[in-house]
Amino acid sequence: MRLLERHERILIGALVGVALVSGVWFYTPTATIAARYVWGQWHAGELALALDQSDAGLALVIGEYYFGNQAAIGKVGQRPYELPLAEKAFGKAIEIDSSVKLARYMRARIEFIQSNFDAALADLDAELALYPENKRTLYMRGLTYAYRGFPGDLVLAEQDFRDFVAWTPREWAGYNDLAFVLAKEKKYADAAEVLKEGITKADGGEENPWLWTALGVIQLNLDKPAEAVDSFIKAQTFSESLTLTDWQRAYPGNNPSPRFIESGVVAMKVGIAKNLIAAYAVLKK
Amino acid sequence: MSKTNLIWLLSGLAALTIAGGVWYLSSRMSSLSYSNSSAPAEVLMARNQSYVLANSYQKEGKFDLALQSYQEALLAAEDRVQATQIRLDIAFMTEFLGNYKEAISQLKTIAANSSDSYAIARAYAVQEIGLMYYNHYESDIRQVLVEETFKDSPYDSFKEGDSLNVAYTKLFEYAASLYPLGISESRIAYGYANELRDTLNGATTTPQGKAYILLINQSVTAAVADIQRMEDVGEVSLIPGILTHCGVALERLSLLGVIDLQEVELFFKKGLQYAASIGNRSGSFSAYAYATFLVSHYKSTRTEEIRSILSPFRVDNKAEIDQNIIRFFRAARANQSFLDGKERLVELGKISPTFKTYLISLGWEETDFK
Repeated sequence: MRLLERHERILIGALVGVALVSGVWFYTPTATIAARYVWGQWHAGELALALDQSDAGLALVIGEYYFGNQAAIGKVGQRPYELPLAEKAFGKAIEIDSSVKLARYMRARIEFIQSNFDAALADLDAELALYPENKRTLYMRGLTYAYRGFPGDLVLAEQDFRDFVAWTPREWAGYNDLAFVLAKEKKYADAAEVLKEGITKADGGEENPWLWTALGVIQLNLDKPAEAVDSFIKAQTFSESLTLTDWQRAYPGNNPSPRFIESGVVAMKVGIAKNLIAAYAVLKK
Repeated sequence: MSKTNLIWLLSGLAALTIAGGVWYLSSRMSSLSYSNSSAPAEVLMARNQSYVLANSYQKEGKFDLALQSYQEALLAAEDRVQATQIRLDIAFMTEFLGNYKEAISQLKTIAANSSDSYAIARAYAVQEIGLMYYNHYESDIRQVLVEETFKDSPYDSFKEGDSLNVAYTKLFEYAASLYPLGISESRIAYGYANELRDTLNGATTTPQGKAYILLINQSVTAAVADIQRMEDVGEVSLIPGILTHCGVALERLSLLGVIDLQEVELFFKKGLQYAASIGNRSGSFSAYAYATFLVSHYKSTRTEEIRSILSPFRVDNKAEIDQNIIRFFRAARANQSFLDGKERLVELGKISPTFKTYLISLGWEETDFK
């Protein structure tokens, strides 16, 4: 048998090496272990996502890190807000495990922020098909219908919010958004009833400035300026003790940087002040 | 020439042509993008000869010629942004020429056009409609301005009863909702401060009073925040007015015990210092307002300072006195709606004989100071 030439031996060795490394990389959890290490050590999201082959949970964690979200509440300014990377991470989670819980819901929230309502609805429908018991998805879908605003969307939004409120009657946001949709449908009396129910039933509802502000606006539309003034005064009083964490909790999908949160709180107080002045002006007429 | 050399030469030429084309396109594209450091007016000054000419006519006070040149500049506008900027300038010239109805109509068109007009231009248009009122002191002109301004939607909804203060405050709020321009914000602060003083009789702890105080403070913050942008786009001459108006608004709050007087004085002082630093005329609204502030609070202890601030208002210093303040001084004597102003001017005249002489040169009489 003729002995191989030196350069042929090197070439064959290299090919075997590449095949071995590829095999280990693609057919063992090595790459995913590397992804976990990269994420754990340096929080390098892009690289970790590129390496991650099989850990949908890791991709979800990365997505939630860049979307701010619940984990960032109370930690103002400590989380990045990079929606494209977060969207990519949720997409990776779905790619790894098409039935992974919450990935589509989270991606839909980003798509909603980007006004990509059709994509958000597709994700939310898919999430509901997989996990119908999690009715929080209904809240997000209601919001998406309400903002997309196609003919018939408000009716769909109303139903989603009603189901959400029935599922979790102690959360104020459902009442607030249901009333928002009812007001868009010009059902002001119904909206007022929903808000009053929220004030009574939701946790902290009686001292919730969002519910009182919304009620004041509805009462102005119902031509009840005296009641509106009372509602805005309550909103004003309760907004005075509003903290940045309260604000972040109300808008977990918004940019968590202190500048955005502070300006959001100020904008809310300014809105209440303007509404209060407007209500007094109507009352004076 | 060998074949190889020819290919090399042609390749070199092709590379140069492509590089030149890329450079030309990129320079053209970058000059047509707008920002604070490259505002539409700046870009027009660099690219539109008629606009340059119109600008110089405007500076010379030849508003009819400026109007003509702006109209020519409009024909050469390269995009909607430039066209909107020129239309704004045309509306300003129309106003300066005294065609107030036409100017308001033009400004309303710009403000209403959300597809062609960019947000800040719309805000400027609405703001100018409001400023037009405050820059004219003659009753007949003001009447025309009010009628024309509030005759249609959305402006008619700003009127609440007879209060023009409320109507114009809401108008400036509308402007600020399009873009938070410093001037509009300072006017909002001023308007609400007037409401707090006049309508609520200074009640600061009622819900309504607290609402006004919040809006005043917020508007002052927003006004100050816009100063950086104004510096970037070369609107520095308007900054002293913003600081002074914020000072006037906050002074109302200080009289109600909401804010410290020394903090308020900083606004007046900065307004005056800023005006001096950019070479504005020293006989300005800022000087008058600061002197008035000092008279109201430190009359006996800071007399020399008051005289010094009023010193630009001299008979032999006419070139250094702003035309708008001259018209105000004249109107304050004759027009009943400026009674407050008249009282303050009388007081200032009693403190500064030079100032009194200057007022007399504008038509005031010795008996006015009795």
